[in-house]
Amino acid sequence: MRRALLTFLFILFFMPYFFALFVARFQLQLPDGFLVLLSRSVAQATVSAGLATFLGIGGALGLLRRSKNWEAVAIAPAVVPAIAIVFGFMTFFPSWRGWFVVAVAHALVSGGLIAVVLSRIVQGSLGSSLELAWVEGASRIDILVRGVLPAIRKDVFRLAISVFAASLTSFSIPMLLGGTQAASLEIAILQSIRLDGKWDVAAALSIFQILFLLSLVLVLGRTNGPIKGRAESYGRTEIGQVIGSDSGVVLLLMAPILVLTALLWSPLSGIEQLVSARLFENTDFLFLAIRGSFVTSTLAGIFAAVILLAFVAAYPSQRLRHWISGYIAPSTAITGFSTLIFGWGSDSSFVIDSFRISIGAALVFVPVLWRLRWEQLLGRLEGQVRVAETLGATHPMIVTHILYPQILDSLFWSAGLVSFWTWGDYAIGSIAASRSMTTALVAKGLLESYRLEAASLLIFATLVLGSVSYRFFLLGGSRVAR
Amino acid sequence: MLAQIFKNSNRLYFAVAIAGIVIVGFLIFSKPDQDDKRALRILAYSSFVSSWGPGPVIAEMFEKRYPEIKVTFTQADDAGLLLAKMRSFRVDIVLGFDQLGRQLAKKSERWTPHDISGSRYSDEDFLAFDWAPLGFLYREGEIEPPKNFEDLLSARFAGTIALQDPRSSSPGFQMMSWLVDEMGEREAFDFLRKLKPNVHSMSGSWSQAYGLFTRGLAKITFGYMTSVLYHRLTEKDDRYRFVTFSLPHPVQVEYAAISKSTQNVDRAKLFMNFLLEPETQRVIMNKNWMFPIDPATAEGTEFEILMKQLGDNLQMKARSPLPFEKFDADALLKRWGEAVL
Repeated sequence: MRRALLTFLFILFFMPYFFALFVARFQLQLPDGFLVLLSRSVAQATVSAGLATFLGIGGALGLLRRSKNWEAVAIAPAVVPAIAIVFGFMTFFPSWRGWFVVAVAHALVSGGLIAVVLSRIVQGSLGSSLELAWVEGASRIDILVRGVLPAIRKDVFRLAISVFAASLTSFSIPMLLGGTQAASLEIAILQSIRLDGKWDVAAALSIFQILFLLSLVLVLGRTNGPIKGRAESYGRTEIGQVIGSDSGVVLLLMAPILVLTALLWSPLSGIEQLVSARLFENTDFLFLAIRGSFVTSTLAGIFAAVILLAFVAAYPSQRLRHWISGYIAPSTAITGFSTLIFGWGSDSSFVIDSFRISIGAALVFVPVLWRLRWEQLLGRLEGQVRVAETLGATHPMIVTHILYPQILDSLFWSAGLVSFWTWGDYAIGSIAASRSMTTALVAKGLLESYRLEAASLLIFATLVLGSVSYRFFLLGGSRVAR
Repeated sequence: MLAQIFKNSNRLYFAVAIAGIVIVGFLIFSKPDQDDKRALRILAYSSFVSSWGPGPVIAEMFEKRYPEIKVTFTQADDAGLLLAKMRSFRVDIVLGFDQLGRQLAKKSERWTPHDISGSRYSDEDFLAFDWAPLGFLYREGEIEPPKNFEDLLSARFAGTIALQDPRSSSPGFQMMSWLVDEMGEREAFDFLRKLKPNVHSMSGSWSQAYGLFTRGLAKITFGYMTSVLYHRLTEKDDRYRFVTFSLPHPVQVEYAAISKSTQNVDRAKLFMNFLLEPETQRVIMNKNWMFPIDPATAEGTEFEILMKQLGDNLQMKARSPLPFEKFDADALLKRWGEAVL
């Protein structure tokens, strides 16, 4: 059973690469200037990871002083289309361009998400130790420097690798903010497909990208492991009083302010443009897009939860751990194209489109979540699994009685996050769908028809609806857990 | 094993079941998209088929004329995606190739001749349905416009020009090709190297670059001459201007073509003819903000005034679009990378 699950997951996640190879007729070719492209991409991704980690740690200290509702604010920059961050950036820093600026923008995008994950780790794993140190009279700085940071060191490293991977495969930000230094592997992949139709180059680059990341994680993985110890859940505010910091909130707010500035730049002309696009007259179109977003995002959340449950059922497996830990950031373009396999050659339909977008979103976002949360979570439970095995528990018993009750909260959180992401996605949707069936795709259409302000307003509305969807999953999780 | 997992987790099972029912309900009650016997399937780019684009109106007009045919649109992003998507959907007509996309489409697919002769810019397989000259745009009162390429190198334009990346944008490729055609390869890339300090951003698409321009973050952009009319007619904003150089400007032409694999050749040919009818061309002109193929369609409109301006001030490549087939796109992009990146 476990072997069958593993095979299924392997095929599912590597399907995009099989697809690319098939379309390229099993021919691979790296583009000219590949080494220059790689070195620039790696340098930019490394700095992005460093800056995002710094921002994430500061932000986590801020989040510990705030309610969980702040998580949606922190996550928002990671789920809006990159163009919103870029426009915000250009508004505040009009003359900033170059690879370092790209790195700063990547850090702003990922910093909040890292902050959320780190704050959850601190809350879930270190609560009692922190309280003890506090009661014993340790200063806040001592607790932070000698207690918290060493304890979460490995998690921080793990998260930094995730940001490195995401930055390596980023597209819009390097292209817009890189100025004359714009170069990334994903730009090269899209260029080869869209402008030249060269699938051999696209396949070679995407396979290189994933193998490069797999090797990186395998090599660095020797020093990289999750926090061991007892799982616990401590009150957020109590921990916040010990190590939280209000200035961390300022760090957290930088990216959302940029995003809001970009999205609400000129709301009145946005409304005028929505009127000129006759979206208020033709409400069917808007309603269908909202329905499409709701269906695809909910389905994506459910697919993500099912895939993560399959991971849990197959756990612990060294093979699984090796490949999924390195499978951090699959190419969005290649994944999007590969979903066209479903319903190949048939007429376009809402059902198939919804399936394509949601499975594509789940395939892109689940690996990110694995690195962000699940690798650490399951690693923490491994000791309990070993003890149970020694005592003679069967694998189904272990999954049912030990793993399952302890992963519920994270399962719904992850499903909610994937759902939130899918509301804001147009990268996969524009490739996989046969119509403008989501609000994000409608916004993209508006952007392509001179109506930037209308698109911005619609993206803002999409963000609000996405955060409702996220909260809905969290609420579902807390009900089930109760 | 999964059954066992769920056995002890009735609440999760219940939650998943409810979510499943909601989703399945949505899927079941969504109408089937196409009536197979009547369908004419058209693959087009997203802004063409959107509710504010020309697609829905043209479909309605066509169905009124031919009630036995039902037009259904499938959307794709750009030329590369048009080709990738036409392989994965049943498609009768592909609509929206530009010159570069047409070249790629000719290389990689086979097409059915449309049998319309004498239409401007068209060949036997690819029917041109609209066009627009390309060049630089600015807002009056913000800058003194450049008069020629050399002017663009002036320090007064430092960090103000929003361009498109030719690796992912068709207008971006047009601009690079324009420079190469006018100056020769070596001088063109020398020019681009010198232009770097004045470049505000190199966007992945025309719409991103144009968004930076309309928000005032960039003062000049490379784009369509007809954009001026969008701002004048829809936004009542008359500040937008197209810079007419004394040398020939390139044009962007959009094409439709009939798939070789279609079973509906007759219906597809009816639609191709319909695309060039004056009423249809007027819809395309007014909703796609591009010039009609037959200039007579624009008579009495702002488009005609703009076209006349072309005749007076602009010796266009319009009469002969840039000879993309003569360019080695790979070599040009490589040199562009060396010069600009």
